[in-house]
Amino acid sequence: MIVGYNHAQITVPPGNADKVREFYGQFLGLPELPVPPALQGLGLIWFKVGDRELHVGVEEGVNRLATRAHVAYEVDEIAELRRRMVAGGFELFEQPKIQGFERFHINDPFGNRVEFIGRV
Amino acid sequence: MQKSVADGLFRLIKNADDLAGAFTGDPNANLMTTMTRPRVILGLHHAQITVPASMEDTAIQFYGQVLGLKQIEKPGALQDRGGTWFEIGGMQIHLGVEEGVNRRATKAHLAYAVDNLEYWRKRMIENEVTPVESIAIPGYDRFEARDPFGNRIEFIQRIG
Repeated sequence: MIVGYNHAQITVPPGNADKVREFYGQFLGLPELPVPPALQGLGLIWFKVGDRELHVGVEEGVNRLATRAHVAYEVDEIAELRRRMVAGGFELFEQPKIQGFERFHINDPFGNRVEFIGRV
Repeated sequence: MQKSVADGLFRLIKNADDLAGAFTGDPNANLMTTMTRPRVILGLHHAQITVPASMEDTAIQFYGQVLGLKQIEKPGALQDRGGTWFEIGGMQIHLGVEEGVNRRATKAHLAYAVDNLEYWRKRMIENEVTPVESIAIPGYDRFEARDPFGNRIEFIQRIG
């Protein structure tokens, strides 16, 4: 059976390793994980997300804004995150309310749609 | 004792960043202090993939029957927006509909942790999905594929 997610992989254009670490590592506070030696040299950057992983790969020629596909992160203080995102210059996109949850999405610096959702 | 040490450290770090902001004039220095605060992101909540509208029924069948994921009811506020939700190991996968996306153009994917990789390899072949071998990594067996709609998927099993 499928036990759950192991990871989600998103991609960014080449030459953005610093920006990836700044946004997903520092800005969102995800701890970086070592990439196995067999996969080194491919430009992969891995992060821990709760007990799962986010893998960031590299590829060119993808219009990331063309799709609504996304990864959603559960956060503990959504109001605070919302303030930080605004302070960080991100445009916030509101979504229909779901009872018991507060949520919004942004586009990461590479155009990947990112949703944040928190229990209220 | 531990708490007071942690509080002291936090104050120290905060002060250092305040100072960094004051000295460098970088307005983001203070911002970064709060942005790096731990425990803001608890985990993955869901991932959304999309399929063409003409294939929605096939997709619901693939993710529900072939992958065996349990369909869950969407919240009332979202029920008239289309899309189908499934539960996956305490998280969710949302299946949305959209046109004009070349899903095969990207390596972005979702990786499913499984407890019997060989079963899934056979099950994919039976359903006309072609397993492709991935670069081996220690501690895991895995393969990747494209779902019938072009979304890349990975099956991965912890071994040893």
